[in-house]
Amino acid sequence: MKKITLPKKLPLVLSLLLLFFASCNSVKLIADYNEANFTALNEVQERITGFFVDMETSAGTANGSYANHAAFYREVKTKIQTLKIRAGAVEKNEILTNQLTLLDSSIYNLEKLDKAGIKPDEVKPLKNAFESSLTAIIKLQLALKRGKK
Amino acid sequence: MGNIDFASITSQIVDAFKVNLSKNWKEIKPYAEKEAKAFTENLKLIAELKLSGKIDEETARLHVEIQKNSMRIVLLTIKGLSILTVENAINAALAIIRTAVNAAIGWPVL
Repeated sequence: MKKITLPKKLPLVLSLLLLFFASCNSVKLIADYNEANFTALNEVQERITGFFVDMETSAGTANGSYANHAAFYREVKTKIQTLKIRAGAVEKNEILTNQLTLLDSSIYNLEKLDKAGIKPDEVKPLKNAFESSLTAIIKLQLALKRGKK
Repeated sequence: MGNIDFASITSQIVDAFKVNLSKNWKEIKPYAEKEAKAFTENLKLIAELKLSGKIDEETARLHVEIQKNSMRIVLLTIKGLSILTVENAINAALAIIRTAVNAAIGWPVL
């Protein structure tokens, strides 16, 4: 049976590789937590939650009509699009940017439904979807704190 | 540098990866299952609304798009949490290497 001999320089190569990797303080694969973005996200979440709290009682009535919601859509769309611009300016922040794009698209679809008139039975699945979306976005942002207080 | 125990370092790194990655799945699994269940239930509600004639096809389509976007957002969060886990595992491995090198040299060079 042939004896396998390792190259003589292997320990040196391994040592140099170890030195190289250990000299890197730490690795960041995803963007850092950002307090301003987190605050803005919470504002968006509050507005959307408020909308559905209203719709739970007003859907199907005059108070629940689209005419009463124009300011809501303008405000939420502006906030989301501002957040997208800020998120897009930061490296390794593609996940948040993509999430905001999807949230924006959902708000546009919500607005279309609102213009046609949202019936009381439609509120629950819509509220659930937006709650899931917002919880998911905020969950990841909290995780980005990486042990920061 | 000749007295670095590479086998021990490798073993410690593998253990750090195992701990980090399995912890990540333990945390993510209940969340992923809950969201998958919620998504299915919401689709069921929409199907019932359509079948009962309370909403038309276009309205149902918009509802489904909103649900799909929600699921995509959840999946992106799971992806982000997994990336963080890998990051933690890599940084744990780097710390192990740093400790081993400093110990072998006899003073904190890294």
